[in-house]
Amino acid sequence: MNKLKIFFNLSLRQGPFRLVTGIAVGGVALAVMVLLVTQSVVQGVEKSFYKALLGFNAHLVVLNPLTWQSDPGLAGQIATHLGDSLQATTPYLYLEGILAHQGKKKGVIVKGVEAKSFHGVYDVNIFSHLTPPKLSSVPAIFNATASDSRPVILGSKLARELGIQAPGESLKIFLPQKDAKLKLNSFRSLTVVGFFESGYYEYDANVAIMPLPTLQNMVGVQDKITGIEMKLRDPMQSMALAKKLEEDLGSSYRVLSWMQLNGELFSALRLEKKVFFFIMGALVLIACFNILGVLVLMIHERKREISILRALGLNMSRVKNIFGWIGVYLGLFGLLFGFVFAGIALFSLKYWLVLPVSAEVYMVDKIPVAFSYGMALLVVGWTLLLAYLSGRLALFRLKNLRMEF
Amino acid sequence: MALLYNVVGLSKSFIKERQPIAVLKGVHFQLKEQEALVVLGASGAGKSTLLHLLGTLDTPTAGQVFYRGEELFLKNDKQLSEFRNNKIGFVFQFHHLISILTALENVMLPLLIRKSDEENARAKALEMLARVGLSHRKDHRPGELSGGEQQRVAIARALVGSPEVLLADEPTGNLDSKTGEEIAQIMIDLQRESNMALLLVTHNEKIANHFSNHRVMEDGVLL
Repeated sequence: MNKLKIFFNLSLRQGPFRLVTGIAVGGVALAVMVLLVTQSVVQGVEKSFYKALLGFNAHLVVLNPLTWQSDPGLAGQIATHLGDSLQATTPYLYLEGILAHQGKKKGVIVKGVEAKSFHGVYDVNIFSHLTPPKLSSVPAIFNATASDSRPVILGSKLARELGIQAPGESLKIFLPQKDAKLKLNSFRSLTVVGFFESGYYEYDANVAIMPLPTLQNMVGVQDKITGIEMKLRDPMQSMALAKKLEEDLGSSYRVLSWMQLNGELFSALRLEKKVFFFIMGALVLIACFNILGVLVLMIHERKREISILRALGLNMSRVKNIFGWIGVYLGLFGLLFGFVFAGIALFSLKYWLVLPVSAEVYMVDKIPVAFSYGMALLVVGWTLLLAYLSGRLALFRLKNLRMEF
Repeated sequence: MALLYNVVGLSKSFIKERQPIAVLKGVHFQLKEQEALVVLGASGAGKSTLLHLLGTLDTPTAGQVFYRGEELFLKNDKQLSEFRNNKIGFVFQFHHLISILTALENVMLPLLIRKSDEENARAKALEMLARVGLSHRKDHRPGELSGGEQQRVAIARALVGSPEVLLADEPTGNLDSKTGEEIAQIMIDLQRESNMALLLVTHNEKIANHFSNHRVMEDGVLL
């Protein structure tokens, strides 16, 4: 049987077949490459969003939706309810304000964080150009800086927009207070002590971080906070744990997971991934039509040989089997070349041809690439299924084939 | 000798320009084990159609073909394929060898189809090639062989699976008379050695004279 398969495989390499087989395999390879590259880029975007969001966002947030709160026992209650699932907690105060520097103004979100605990929830690797310059000193910066100097860490894009080049520069901030009106003397001075870059444009361009007590003093709310942020051992458990914690804490608190807070973004990403798969997957389908074409042509050209083999006793189901497997072989060759081409393209995108993109539009500043084995398996399965079906379709032609001598 | 073929009222028509053309008109005949029968007739008499029907390469319009008492055309494709592979050896006018395979590989085909072990198939094919005097040409492709050598490879291929019947359709029709004589002699010798039945159709009386048992086919009727 192997010899028989080899015979037809040899046929594919003969004369005109060599060209059409090459075209068919090349078509599948290109389609597979496009599918893999597209999926890797979409996966890369998703992954960089995850990384940015998880680096800068807590996994869970407990807040009172009606008012700022002052509940010193809340963190303890959370720790009791979540047990081992909880890794760290930190209180925060969330405000909107206006930053001004050398005539430039920008509305921002100002987040007050607690020096001793916020590094347990945030990824300190997102901070840069700190004064003092060590990443490990992030919590110390807020502690060490004299309270009257009012330290602030700015998002990298925000700093650029305001024209701030290096730590040490000062800028002004306006924050809403009970009876405040927008006057020149309502602006207070802040000192930049560092920058952060989460990789997510919305954060990097709109958020400033300050020590919690400094912010509380500036707006006169003393020990009040917006809520408590938490880091979990497994961020993928956040939805279930949010529900559990909300039930445990009672109706005066809302518990939101990072997935809920960014739900629209993730559902858009998921939709994008599916749409890309189906569009690019359709390319593989079109490419597999070439396999169908090759097999139909081959059956037509090899009628005589098929008739000889039938006369010698080869039954139809085995003839069909041979052609079905040839379809799969062609699909496999297409996959192999497709993976090689995709590997080269993805490697180039990641290391040689790093293509910058507009962060304002795409929220990431270069094309991210992430290869997933699950996705690769899906591409292999999809392509082989289509190649096999192409083989079956071509075999349909064999049903009407009489033995010809 | 037991009866192999019992052909009853076998007819075959083709439709051409909406008109049925009868090629075989109610053929009756029998073929026993080890019997050699030559069917003589002019071109277009229906000899090849008869042979194709006996070899189940085509289906009849009417009539029945019994092989060892079993009606052939009640069998399904798989059973008919097995029948061709195990019981029948074909030799055609045009050798019908597969051009990209060597002589040896062509001879191995019936055994490979039978799912024989490849080494065993190779050994049997080599032995068969030796019997037709072509051991030295085993690695040549059909295009590199003469007409007589091609037909000898085809005979080796027909006989490698030890069939019960050899169906030969004008096996010398495409050869010069000297080579034709040689091929006829090889077939006679092998038929006797192998104790198989032979049904040979030809229009060549010289070839037919090598055999004692003759029937004549004329206008679709076996006389």
